[in-house]
Amino acid sequence: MDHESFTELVGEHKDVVYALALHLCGSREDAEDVVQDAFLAYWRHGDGVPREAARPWLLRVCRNACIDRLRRTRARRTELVGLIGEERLGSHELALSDGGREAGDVESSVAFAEIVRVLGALDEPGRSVVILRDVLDLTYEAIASTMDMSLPRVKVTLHRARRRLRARLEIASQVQP
Amino acid sequence: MKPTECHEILDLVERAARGTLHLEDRARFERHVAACRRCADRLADARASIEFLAASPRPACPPRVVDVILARAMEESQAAAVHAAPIERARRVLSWPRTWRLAPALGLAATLLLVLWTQRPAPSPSVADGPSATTGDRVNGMQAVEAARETRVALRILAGALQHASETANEEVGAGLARPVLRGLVESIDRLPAPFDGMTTRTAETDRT
Repeated sequence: MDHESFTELVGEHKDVVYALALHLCGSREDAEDVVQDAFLAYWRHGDGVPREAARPWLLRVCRNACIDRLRRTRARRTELVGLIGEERLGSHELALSDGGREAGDVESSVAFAEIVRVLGALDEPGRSVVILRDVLDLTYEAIASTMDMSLPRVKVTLHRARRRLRARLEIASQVQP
Repeated sequence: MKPTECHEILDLVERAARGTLHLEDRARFERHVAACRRCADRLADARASIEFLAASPRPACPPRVVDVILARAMEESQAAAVHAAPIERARRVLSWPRTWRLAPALGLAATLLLVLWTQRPAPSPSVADGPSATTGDRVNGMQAVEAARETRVALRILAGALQHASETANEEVGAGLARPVLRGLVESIDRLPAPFDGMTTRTAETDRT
């Protein structure tokens, strides 16, 4: 693939890949890293990928990278909780997240933090399917291609994830005064 | 409610949740949902998820990320080009048409080496063998020395001719590869005669004594 075609491809898919990374990772820095890695992986190994299959390929690479990152972050967090306790770690994370916010940043708004928290409570692959469908507006066929699933399985996974998400939202609304 | 009917209504649930249900489907859908608890729940789940995530931001990918991606891709392709240059050169040198032109010279060189190896002299009787060496052994040894000398002359002429051919074919990339091989061959032939020449004299002296 020549540099010009690659530039065109990046321009075409960057926003959708970034949006998926942002919703899965929940952090702007991680999302930026993942997007860079996904596109560079395509630059290195994407010669055999047809142009029309580039988007599902990029989304799949992006999703896998996000899941790996989340797994590593959770493992580190579990270690830290064991060392300093949940309460102290929670207040430290809150201070860090407040400090990292930039004015007008939608990625670091309170509303977005709430969305990431609710989505984070869902299991994979349900969370990814919900994001692809209800945030990115992808068709069932595109989701099936991205997730390497059959169409009926996409529908069932989506339905189960939505049911769980609604249950979470109801619990949250009961907890809040 | 029959499951088949629920299955048929599934796609309509999605449309209804997004507010894109066709007018002609609406009556059938509403009738079904009113009677089917499962599909009513599905509709509520879909609505809740869509409404909640509709508020989710979809910010554009920051331009600095794109800049980094394109710059790194460019760097990698330049580095790959530098790394691939010697490989590409070797590939061109060893490409079939050039190798084909070189094939007769290489074939001859291989044959010469084979002949040299098979014609190497058999152990000959010498002074050290003393009285234990029979006349028959000495005759065989002298014959081997003569045969080796003749072979050496023939090989020297052939190798010299090949070397000359490769040195005159300056433009050929393959000739560059063949040249050191042939030069080595000529040198190895030149190194052969010394022990043979002395050996005949020694054998003759031994015979006289």
